[in-house]
Amino acid sequence: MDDVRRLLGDDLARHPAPPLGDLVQQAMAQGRRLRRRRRLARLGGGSTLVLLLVIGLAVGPFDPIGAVPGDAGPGHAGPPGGPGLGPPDGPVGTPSGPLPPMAPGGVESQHQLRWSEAPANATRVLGTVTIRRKPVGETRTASPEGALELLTRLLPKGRTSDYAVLPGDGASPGMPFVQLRLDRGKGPGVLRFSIYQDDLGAGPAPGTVELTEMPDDCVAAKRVTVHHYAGLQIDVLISSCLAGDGIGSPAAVPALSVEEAVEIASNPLWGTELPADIVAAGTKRFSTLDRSNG
Amino acid sequence: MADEDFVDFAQAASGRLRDAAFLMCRDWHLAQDLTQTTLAKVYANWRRVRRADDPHAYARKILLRCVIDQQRRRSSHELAVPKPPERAEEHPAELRMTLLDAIATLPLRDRAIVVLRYWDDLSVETVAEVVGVSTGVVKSQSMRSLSRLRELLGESRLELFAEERH
Repeated sequence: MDDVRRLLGDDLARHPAPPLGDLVQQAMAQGRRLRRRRRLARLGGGSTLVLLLVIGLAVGPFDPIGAVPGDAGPGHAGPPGGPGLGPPDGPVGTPSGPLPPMAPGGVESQHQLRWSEAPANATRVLGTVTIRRKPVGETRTASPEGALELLTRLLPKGRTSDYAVLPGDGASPGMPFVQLRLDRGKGPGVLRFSIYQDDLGAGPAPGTVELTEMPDDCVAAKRVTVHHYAGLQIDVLISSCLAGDGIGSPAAVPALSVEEAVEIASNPLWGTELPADIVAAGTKRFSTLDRSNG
Repeated sequence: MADEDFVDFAQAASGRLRDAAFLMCRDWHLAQDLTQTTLAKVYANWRRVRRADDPHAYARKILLRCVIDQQRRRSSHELAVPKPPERAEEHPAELRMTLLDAIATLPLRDRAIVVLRYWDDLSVETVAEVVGVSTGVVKSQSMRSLSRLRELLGESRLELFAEERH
């Protein structure tokens, strides 16, 4: 055995290896992307048990915040936050019912040591948007409640309901993954939203907008990704069905257009820190929002 | 904290992983890519991996899968060893068949067994776990592979030992 190892060592010595460089850092960046894609694929693809917990409240019609005339126009996502930010108008209604749970997926055990790859999906760069400077002010770690609060303020006019926190595999504090339904008068559609930050600088340039279309996955039929500064990445998943397993689930009208999703995701208020008043309002408004332990 | 643990692990393992990858694919750039992919997958599962009995064995398992995947993706037989060269007295070191050349003639699974067993010095049981075969297969294939390597190396191997004795 020692002979073989010595001979191999001699052979290796005749083939000098290039420097390892920043291989470990690159691997970590790649691992984060893999983890994140897997998280999205699981949640979007219905391969994970999602404990969808609904707060029992639904918000009635409201005005999109900051719908400044001439900016986005009525019925579109409002412009980035600013003076127009405020709590949504409209009464609190009754829930329209919980979302059906997603199909349970395989659970990795310590000994089986399996990993799953995200499905190969067609991701393309749509273009770039200008990411405006983040407003100054007191901030707090982005909570799911805070994300839902800001998201509902940015959405076009319609009835939102069925708020839920989705489990995130490896997600760090300040990187919530949430879901809601939006009914703009043509029936409810499911939206999912995530905040993710990878500060290793391995991602696309700030302002890059990507669209991933998953024709086989109605829950995440379209994923719009807007890359912000410092590796911040905002995703809006637009479902074309209502159920989580994507099989035999009722079709739904997409709740947003891609353009609207881009506008929402490019809002400079998004980050792993959100304005403190938004987080506080979300905590109050979604006080009964249960969390998955996923 | 978990990241720090991973960095410690990765820094300790990356060199050996890359060497093992190179011994299986004979291409440093590919070995580097395979090592990075391996460590990325380890990192993506780090919370589970760090609790495993042997994270290094787990990493080798992933590496082997990466090598297999890579080979499947590439239909060409780029890993095939060149024909054993004719001997030439003036440049014996460059022209003789090396153990690396000989190992490349082995099927990938046998190549992996040899590398894991004799380069990484893993136990028969661990190699069996990593490769996904029984310990009996590891033992029998190890012996068969060594026999094949001796056969391929022939006088070259004897010459190497002769050089070492000088």
